[in-house]
Parts: sequence; structure tokens; C-alpha cells
Amino acid sequence: MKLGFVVNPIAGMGGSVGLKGTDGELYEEALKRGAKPVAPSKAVRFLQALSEKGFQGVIVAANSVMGCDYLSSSRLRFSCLDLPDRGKSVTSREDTLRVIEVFLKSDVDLIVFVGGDGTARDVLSVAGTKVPILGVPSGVKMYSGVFATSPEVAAEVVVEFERGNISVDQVEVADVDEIKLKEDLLNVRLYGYAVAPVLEGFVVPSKDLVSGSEEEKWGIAKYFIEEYMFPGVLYFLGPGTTTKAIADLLGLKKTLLGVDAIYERKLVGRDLSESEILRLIEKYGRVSLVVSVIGRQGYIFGRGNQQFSARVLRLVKKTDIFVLATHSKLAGIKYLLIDVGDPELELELSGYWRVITGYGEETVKLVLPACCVDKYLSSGGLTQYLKT
Amino acid sequence: MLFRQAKWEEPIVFELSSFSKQTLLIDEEFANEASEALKRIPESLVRSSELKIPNLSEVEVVRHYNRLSQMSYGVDVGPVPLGSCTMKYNPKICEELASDPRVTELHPYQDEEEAQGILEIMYLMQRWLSEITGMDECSLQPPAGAAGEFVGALIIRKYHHDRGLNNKNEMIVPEAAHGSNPASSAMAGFKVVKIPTAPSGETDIEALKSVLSDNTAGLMLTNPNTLGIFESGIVEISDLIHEKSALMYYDGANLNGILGIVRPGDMGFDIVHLNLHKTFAAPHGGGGPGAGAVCVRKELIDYLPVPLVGFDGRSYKLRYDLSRTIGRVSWFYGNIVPIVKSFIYIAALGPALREVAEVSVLNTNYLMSKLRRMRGISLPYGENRWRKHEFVVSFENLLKETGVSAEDVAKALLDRGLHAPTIYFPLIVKEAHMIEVTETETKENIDRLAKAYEEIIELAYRDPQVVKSSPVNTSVKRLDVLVANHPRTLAPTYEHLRRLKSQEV
Repeated sequence: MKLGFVVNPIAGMGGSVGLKGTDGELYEEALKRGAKPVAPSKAVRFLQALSEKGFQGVIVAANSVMGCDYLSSSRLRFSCLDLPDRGKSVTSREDTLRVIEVFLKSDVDLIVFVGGDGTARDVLSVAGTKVPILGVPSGVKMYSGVFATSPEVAAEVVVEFERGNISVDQVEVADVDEIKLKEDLLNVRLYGYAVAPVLEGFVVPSKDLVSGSEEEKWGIAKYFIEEYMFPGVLYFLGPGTTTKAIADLLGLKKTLLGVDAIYERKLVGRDLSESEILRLIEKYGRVSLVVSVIGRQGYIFGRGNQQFSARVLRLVKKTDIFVLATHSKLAGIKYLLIDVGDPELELELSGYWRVITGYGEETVKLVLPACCVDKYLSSGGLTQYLKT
Repeated sequence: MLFRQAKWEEPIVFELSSFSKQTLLIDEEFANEASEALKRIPESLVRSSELKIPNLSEVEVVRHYNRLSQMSYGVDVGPVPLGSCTMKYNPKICEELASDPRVTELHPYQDEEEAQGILEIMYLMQRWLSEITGMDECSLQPPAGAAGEFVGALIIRKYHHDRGLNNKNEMIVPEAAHGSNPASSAMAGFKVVKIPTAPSGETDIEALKSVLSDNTAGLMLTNPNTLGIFESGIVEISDLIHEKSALMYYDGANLNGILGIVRPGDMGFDIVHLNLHKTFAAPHGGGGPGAGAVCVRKELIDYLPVPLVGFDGRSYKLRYDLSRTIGRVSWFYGNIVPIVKSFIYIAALGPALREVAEVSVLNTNYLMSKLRRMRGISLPYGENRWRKHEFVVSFENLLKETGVSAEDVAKALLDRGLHAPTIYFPLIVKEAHMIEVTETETKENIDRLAKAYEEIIELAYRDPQVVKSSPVNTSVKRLDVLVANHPRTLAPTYEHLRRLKSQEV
């Protein structure tokens, strides 16, 4: 197997000095504050674990600080690209993009990068879904699903992938707008979907066979269409692969990251903005929102689907909002969150919701207001619920 | 304790080569008699094709199966602390009596007058199981636990249907339930609504209230639940369900925690299924036959699968006179063997059945109190509560600190001559070990098990790689679960294996 390996040497430097990232001018700021590189040590740990776990394949690595520097002392078989130039002290986004292009040309089976959400975005922009991607976490923020939990786990995943023991799945690549984050505005954007090897599958006891997530999504979509799609209702489908599966089944081309509208099984709006959604609600009257869970934190509103603003939500009945999620997505998420900057509305929408998790299967989950999770929990009968 | 499992390079029986056809020579006179006898059978009934069975001599067959048994492990070799499966010892007296030809050779169409003994056993079982569960009547038909659940779900469906309540299409199931609960509900045509478990380890009653509606058909519940925790709010739950004219279904796969102490009927349940091959000591885990008796309240007797066994004061008869029956779920009572074994078990214990529950609960809590103090182990949900027949620990901390997972620990137990517990179930507990020692295990054996856990954990912190490469002392080393479960490699029958090999499938 051929593994493409690239390191973003400046990823994660902002964290230790209280910055939320190292994108753009934040890097200079981080240096000024005396930040030290973190990615190199993560890279070394990953490679060491890879060799200990008995990786058999060949590594194609980016040059110098972006890869080869950390390989020279290891016992792994590798070759170096001539990108970026040896003498370069500061690498940039363009270097990453060019390296990934060469990886694709050399037919790598898997790309491993050391970095954060920003790096994930760069890798995705070139690799798309052509090659599976795996992130060794070294960023300040890691909202994307491409990251293993540690360098060692990443090595484990690579070795299992090499042995053909794990499958790939579509995962989100998301990022926070760092400039806004400085002003304490959390604006998570969904950039797209990468293909990543996933080691989150349970070792399944024979009594409970868990099906692959692709099948789960089809089941969810089919059930939604049969059970909850009615004539005369306009359906807004939020971003994500689970909601897209509904459109796929209906033979419609939905945007993956946008909000699209379906009426009488036809697309009547694509990639809608908040004001367009409001206009359509006015025009059609009877509407339903269909969303899935974004990211590992369990947001159903306010992350990646800001088009469904507080103003939109005020016009839609709670019973006309549908949440879709696969079991693997829900596993480990204690409660779902709504963050639309309107505490009153968020509280109104809080409580137990049914999430569609399979064909003919709905799972009850607690939905909480992001504004005031603590207050909400200590105010009602749910205090006991989240004490753990 | 030293443990090395035998290892034979043993092919499957169909692929054993054989040179001798016979080890016992049959005298010509007898051989003629056999062919004469064949001539008396009508031509149309005589097989003309080859039998697809291996052609082996007795000695080869005996050796083959002895070798396989040396490479195998079961309750007759050592403890099997398999949570939610109740692997207790199967008394040999039950085996002996149940293999009596009067049981095994009985033809399903034998005249009832000539099968009074068996019918009496079945009739008494119906009575006893009703008494044990607090129900009014039982059917012994279902051939497995999940089949019993399915029968229960069908009864619920027909019951509502007969009352004109066709909108009742939702079955509520806790997330911690046995995986067969949602499956049985879906098979019976219900929508499954899963509700979460509260941190106390009990069903989240607030969540339950949030989903109740006129569409609620019923609730499937295990009590004590799969965490081994008794639902203290069970009466309130029953009332909530009954207020919606819905039915309470008790998943009695395992009664070990409450046997003779409390009854599902007293908790407000309307339908109960029991796995005779767990609580009542018939063997299981070999693909059957099982016995999943279904018991119901008076109002639902009419819905039971037929035939039941009735008694008119003079003789025992098969009863078909149930006006609303859901029909048959098995052609015959082919599961009579486990039924007889359970009958003997119950008869032998009598009132001491209660002790089964007492001792198994004591054993569970004794082991739990030892394990929960160990490094790397946590006890999620209801931390300060005693458990009943089983308990679930999490190795999440061990995994984080050493990289050794619940699966690795399970494999390392095998290396010490102990069967692993159920792992990764229930799904609400990360890195789960679900342990049930039953009343069968002695204190010494439970101590041995605890010591094995202690050793493995110590090793995990010292040299995790050793644990991760277990088992090494077993006849089969660690399998690749993905390959082992893959349809390209998994063959349930020889015919299927042959097709795989010849690439027909």
C-alpha cells in the first residue's frame, strides 16, 4: 500500500498562546506571543506508532519540515517529494495543495496529514473523495470527522486499513471562521465531505449486527419519504449526507452543503439563503424542515445550517421539524443542541425529540438550548439527567 | 492456573478422507435380509440418488468428534460468564431423562391417548410457568426466545386490531434492550421508538412520557434491565402504558434475578416470554432447539398460538379452541426436549427456585464489588446501586490509558481458561463487559475470574502488546472479526461452503 504523508508544521501553534488557530495573520501573532511548533512531535509519534504496529507499505512524503524530516530516523520505507523546496522555512497553504496534487498523481491509497481543520480543508479541496483522508490531530480546532483521536490511534487506523479490516465512510470537513472567533462568534462552516477510514465501528456481538452507515442512511431516507412526506407540503432539506439521501432516492440533485427545497417531489429551490427560505415559507405556507446532526457536538441548528435562523424557526411548528441521524453519529452524543442566538426560542424548542435513526425506527434524544445548557439543566426535572 | 487448549488440524467431517467403508463386517445373511427388506418398500419411496453424507467408519467419526470437543469450551469445562445469556450448568439428570426414547422417538401424530405422559408434562409446565410469571396461561410453542418475542408482538398487534385501534403502530423499546426487541417489533409491523436510559440506569420516565400517544401499542421491557438494575418505577411505567390502552410486554429472556421473588404479573405486565434454555437450565448456544414459552393475562389467552394442552379432569388433550389465536408458530412441539429438561429442573428444585435468584444475585454483586475497585474499570449508570443477575463494567479508561480494549481483555480471559463475557453490549456503555456468573459458579471460581481480570489489567498497564496479542493458549488464535463475519467467508452449512469454494455464490 502507498501512503501519502504531509505535515502542516505550523498547525496548532495558536492554541498554547490563547489563539483559536493559525490561519492568516494569526500565525504571525502566534509567533509574536512565543508559540512553539506542535505538529512535528505529533508527526514523530504517529510514525513511531506506525512502525511499531507493523505497517508494511511505502510512504510518499512531502519534503523537509512537511514530512521527510520526521522519517529519516524511522525504520519505515519511504521516498521524498521535492516539494516544498528544502530551504523554505515557512510553508504555506499552496505548498499543501501542490503536495496533495502530486500524491494523487502517484496513486496513493490513503493520505495522512498532520494538522487541524484548516489543513483538512486544504487537503479536501484537492483530493475530494478520490482518495481516503485521515488526520493526525494537531490543530487548535478539530470539528471535522477526518481526525483520529490521537497520533497512536491514527497509526492503528492506517494499519487496520492496510490489512483491509476497516471500511471508509463519508465524513464532514468543517471549520470555524477564525477571524470571527477572535470576536467570540462561533461560526462553524461545513466545507464538504471527505472519505475517511473509520474505526468507530463496534466489535459487533453476533446478536446485534450493526449495518454500515451507507445502508443506514438509505433506510432512514426511505422511511422518511414513506412516512412523513405528504403532498402539499414544502420540505427544506438541510446540509449533510443523510438529508441528501432523501433527494437521491427521489432522483433529485441536492446540494450537499446547502439548504434545498422540495415540493411534490421536485426541487423548487437550491442552496437557499435565509431570506429565500423566508420567502418560500410565505409562498407555500405548509412547510417542514429536515436536518441532520452536524459534527461531534450534536448541533441540529446553528452549525453548518445557519440559514435556518431564529426567524425561520419561529415560523415552523416543532412537530414539522425532523431530525435524521445514523446510530454511529448519535453514539456518544449525550444531547443535541440548538444555537440560533435567541435564548427564548431555544428554550421553547428544548426537550425530548424523536430522531429518525433507521427504517421504522425513531430514537428519543434530549435537545438543549446552547445559550444556557447549565441553567436549563438546573431548572427542571432534567437536573438528574446530566449529572453524570 | 495453567491452560493449554488442544490443537488438531481437523478438517470438517465432509472433508475427512476415508479408505475403509466399514469396521464391522456384516454377515452375508444379514446383508441379504437388508436388501430383501428394501424390496418390500414401494419403488417410488426408495431413494435412488446418493446420500450427501460423509462415508466414514465409526472409529473415524468418534475420533473426529472427540478431537473437536477437545478444542471446544463450554459450561461443562469451565465458567461461561456470558451476560444476558445465562450460561448455567445443565444438570445431567435432565439430559438423561430427556433423551429417553419415550421423549425423543415420539411421533408428532401419535394419538393423544397414547401420549398422556408428555402431555401431562406440558400441561404442568403451562401451569408452573404461569405461576412463576404471575400470568394466567402459557403456550410452549415458540422454538426460541426471539420467536417468543415475535409471538408477543403479534398478539399485541391483533389485540389492538380487534378493538378497531389500527392507529396503534408504535412499539416503545429502551435503548438498552436486547437487540431482538426492536427486531421482533419491526417484524410484527410496528414502528420502533427507542427511549434512553437515565444515569440511574433505569428507563428515563420523562422521555417515556414524551413519546406516549394514541399511537402507542406497547412497551417491551426487561426487568431487571440489561444493566442488571431493577426498574424501581415499573408500576408507574405500567400505569402510564395502560392509560394509553397499550400493553406491557416483558422480555423474560432471563429470570435469574427475580425467580420466586417478584413476578412480571405483579409489576403490571400483560405478556411475558421466557427462555427455558436460560433460566431453566436447558442447554443453549448451539442453534437450538430452544424453548421460548409465552405467557399472558386472562384477557389475552384467546390470542395464544395453538395448540395448548388442556385437561378435562380425566385426560390431557391438545386444545385448538382459541377464537382469536394468532395461529401456529411451529408445526409441532419439536422443542419438547428442552421443555422436558426444564420441567425436571423446576420439579427438582421446587420452592428452592427462589434460591437460584438469591445466589445468582449474591454472586453478581460479590464479583462486581471486586471488579469496580480495579484500575481502568468504571461502572457506568446507577453507580451506587446493587445489581441483580448481571452487571456491566466499562473498560473505557483502560482503553484511553493503555490502548487495551474491552475486546482485548475478553481475548486475554480466554487465554486463562475462562470464557469471555458478552462484550460491547448494551450499546449504551462504551467498551462494555456484561458479566453474569449465575448461581452455578462457586466462590472459588468467581475469585479466579476476578484474579484473571486483575492480572490482565496489571499486564495492560505494564505491557499492553501482550494483552493485545491474546489469545495464544487456545486452539484458535485471534480471528479477524471482519473476515470471519463476512458473507464471502462465513458458511453456515457445508452446502454453502461448497458453493463458496466452487465460486457458485
